[in-house]
Amino acid sequence: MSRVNYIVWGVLLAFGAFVIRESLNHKYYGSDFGPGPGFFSFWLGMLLMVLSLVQIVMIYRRPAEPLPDGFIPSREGIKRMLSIMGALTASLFLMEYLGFSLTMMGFCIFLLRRLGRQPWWLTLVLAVAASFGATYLFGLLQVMLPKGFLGFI
Amino acid sequence: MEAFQHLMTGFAAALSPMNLMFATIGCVLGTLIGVLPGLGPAAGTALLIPITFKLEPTSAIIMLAAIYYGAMYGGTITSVLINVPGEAASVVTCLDGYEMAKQGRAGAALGIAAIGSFFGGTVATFGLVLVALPLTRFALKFGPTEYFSLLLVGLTLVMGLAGKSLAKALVMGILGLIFSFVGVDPVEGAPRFTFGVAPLMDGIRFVPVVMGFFGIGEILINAERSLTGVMAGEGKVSSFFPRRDEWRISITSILRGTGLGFFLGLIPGTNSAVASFMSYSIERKVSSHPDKFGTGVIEGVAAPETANNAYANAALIPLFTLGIPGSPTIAILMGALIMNGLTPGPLLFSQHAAFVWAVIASLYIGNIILLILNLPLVGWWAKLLKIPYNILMVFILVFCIIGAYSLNNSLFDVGMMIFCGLLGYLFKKLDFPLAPAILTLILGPLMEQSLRESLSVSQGDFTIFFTRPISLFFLILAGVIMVTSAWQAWPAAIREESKGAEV
Amino acid sequence: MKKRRIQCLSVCLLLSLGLLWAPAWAADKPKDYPNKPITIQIGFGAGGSSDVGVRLLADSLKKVIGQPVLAENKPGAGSQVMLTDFKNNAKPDGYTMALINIPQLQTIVFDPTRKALFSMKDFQPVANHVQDPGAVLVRKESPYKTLEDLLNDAKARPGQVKASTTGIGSDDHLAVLDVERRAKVKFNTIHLKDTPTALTRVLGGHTDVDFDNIGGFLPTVDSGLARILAVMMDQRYPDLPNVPTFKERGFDLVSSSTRGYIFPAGTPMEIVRYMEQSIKKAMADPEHMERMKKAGLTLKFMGVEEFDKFLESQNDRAKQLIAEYRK
Repeated sequence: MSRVNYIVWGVLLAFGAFVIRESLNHKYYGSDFGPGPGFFSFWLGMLLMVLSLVQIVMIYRRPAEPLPDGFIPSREGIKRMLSIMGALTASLFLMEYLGFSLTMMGFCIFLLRRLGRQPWWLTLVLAVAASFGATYLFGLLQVMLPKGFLGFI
Repeated sequence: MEAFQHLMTGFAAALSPMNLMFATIGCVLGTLIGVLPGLGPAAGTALLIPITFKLEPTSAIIMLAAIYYGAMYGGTITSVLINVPGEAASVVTCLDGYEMAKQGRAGAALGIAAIGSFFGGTVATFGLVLVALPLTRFALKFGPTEYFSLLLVGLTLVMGLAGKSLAKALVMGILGLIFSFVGVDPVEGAPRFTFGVAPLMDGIRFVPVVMGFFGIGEILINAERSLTGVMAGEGKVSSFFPRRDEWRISITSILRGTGLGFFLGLIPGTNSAVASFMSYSIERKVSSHPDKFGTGVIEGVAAPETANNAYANAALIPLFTLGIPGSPTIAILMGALIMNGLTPGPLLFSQHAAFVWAVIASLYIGNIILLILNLPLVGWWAKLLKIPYNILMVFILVFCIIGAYSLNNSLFDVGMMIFCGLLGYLFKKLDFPLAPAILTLILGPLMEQSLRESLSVSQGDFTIFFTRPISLFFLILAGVIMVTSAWQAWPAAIREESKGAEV
Repeated sequence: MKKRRIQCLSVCLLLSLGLLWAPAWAADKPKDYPNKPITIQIGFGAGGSSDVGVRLLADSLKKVIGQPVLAENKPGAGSQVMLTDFKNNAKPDGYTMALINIPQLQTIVFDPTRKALFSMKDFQPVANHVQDPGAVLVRKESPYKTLEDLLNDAKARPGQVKASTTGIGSDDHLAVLDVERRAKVKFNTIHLKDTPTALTRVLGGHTDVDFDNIGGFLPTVDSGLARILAVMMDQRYPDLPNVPTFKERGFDLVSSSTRGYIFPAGTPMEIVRYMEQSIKKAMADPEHMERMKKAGLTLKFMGVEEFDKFLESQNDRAKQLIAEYRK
């Protein structure tokens, strides 16, 4: 556990430093009264660094605790997570070109087949419902989901 | 007494078949809008304004008001069932509602939410009839100074949201605040932490963050373990009543939630998320088992759900008495009133008495319709959890993407949601509580604005916070909460340390 | 960059095609336009008075052009978020319009603190729709009965009289700066989030005077909770015949929140003309006029040239006042 803890609090420490550096780009005092745009973020960054340092010292002084059970995911688990994150990220970038319906169609087919292991017929039915069906439903409510290069879907 | 006579006439009007029908349509549409991702009460109401042009003004407003609180309730359903809050006010319901659903008690969670909402909404409507005018005078006394001190009380409640480690809760609170400062600052108009990215100028939007933290984060956690099976394994999902031992505790929570929601609804400039979050924090603070919060306790659903409905109805008071909308949704309602030729404000009571009282009466009726509509549906909704998780999960993801996108028609928000999903997963793994970050994300901008405004008014003099009595009261309250929280947290910290030393 | 070049190329192509086909396009309606829904982007939240105006126009415009007109809210930073997005992503094909607010647009462009990523050249004015006059409001209990009362007190106690605006760089902010400059007074200016907040503060006595626009005031004024000391127009406001203008009181000050529509720069002129005329027709629709009146919004049509000239005329004032403020 302690190595994980070092990393976590180390990252937070670095983030605190980053926040302070960014705050210095802004005025500490406002132009007429009271704190300026950089005031709060400066002190929050400070507070974050102090808290992280205290925690790091405490972890150093204290003997290492074992990792909780199941903290490190199984290979299969990691694969499943990567599939989901990958599908989400890919659809984010594809949506601008392919539009909502086509992207979501692909997204659903991939996940339902890859993780759901559903038969093809069910996959297709569900995927059409979640993509073209959703576009139609939201269209009725005048919510426009992104359209792709084809212009109409 | 005169008020009651008016109210009776109002009931007669509101109970006309036509108006009753519009109230029912409004409740159904509202619930649907609340359930659908991304369409909160504000957007939903705005969307339907054009339809109301074709209606008679009273019916139009009755329908819009029904949509408004129908949507508030609809947001709860997704929070409880799939851990995806439909709108800001029901975020906090995820914390315990979703846990209840996982234990097969989605029915009870939705049931108590419906009952609490009904009670809170009804009491607030009574308040509107009986004490509207004196209350608004009081609410006007609430300037930026009082507001800031009140928010400070909210901030100190963060410490009460700490799990095992106070340090982790504080870090999360600080991170929430830092994120809340992204965007064009309210004082100088200078972009902060935006790195030239245009969508960041308006700040980090709340709903995508929360959808990521809760909805996507939860799916990643599950995916890591296993995706087979269904969510609520056994258990009778269809029962919508709480257990007998939960009734007493629910009733006191509902009462507290009503009081707080009503009070905050009177003060223009707050929002329903503040009401629900503060009410959750207070429940945890006064509870005899604060450590159980977040594992599916019923008061963690009852109180905030009640508070947000009491808020929703009370927020109509400043609209009727002063012509000032207290929240974004009410602002839209006001727009609808104006477009229908009715100018909100005190004159409305004298010039369009029949209209006002019909609308008020319809608020009661709407609350009843909502209850009748929702209790039987609870079991039906809860059955969704019987869908195999590996299918349900895909739909939840699509749902989140639509929700994050359609809020502001921005793909950037979808990206933000995905990123926050990853963050939410890591925080959960590492046992960092999410609630404090969300609370500060809501409070941060409001606090900065009100502090800044107070200091403008006082020309830089900080004593303004102590010389105004209401503000001083809140400051003392904040101090008390801080000290008692530290007192409660201290032994736990020592315990943890000694436990660490033994291993 | 590449995208930009393609945009430029397609514009050139369209223009040259336009020249070739000019005789055919001499008719009122450009060929095959519009053949799909048109979107109007709004940089403000749903339900505000800007939003209400657009939605009402959309409803009437739809009937004129025979295609749905959709309102899309992208709120944030006084419309800066929407305008940045509009400049980067809107195609000059006549299917995406945006609402602009004058002088908010100018203050974003000319205020270096705002780091705007666009300039006035990126937009093609189409037509103006609304002109909501600026006004000065005090609560019923206020000791100020006239504009002179207010200005005399502000003169006697420099920096003490609390005046609220609806945000830095808003037309209200510029109005405060303009009054300060012309009347040689100094207010304690407090920037608030929106009209409801400003009204709450002034009614509660937390601020002394509120600078805002008439459209948002009417409910409060009608009910007698507050009164307007003066309006910032050339003539008196028709519904408020007893309220004087600043001009009558000897200050050459006209200020309003003026809201019109733009296309991205490079949109074919035929399309711009067609839309200008369509908006003009929609604004003449009696139903539209009636609804706008109820919403407290004053219609003011300006065509392409006039609107462009008006935009230009507001540049200097905004530049000067903002420079003065940021000094």
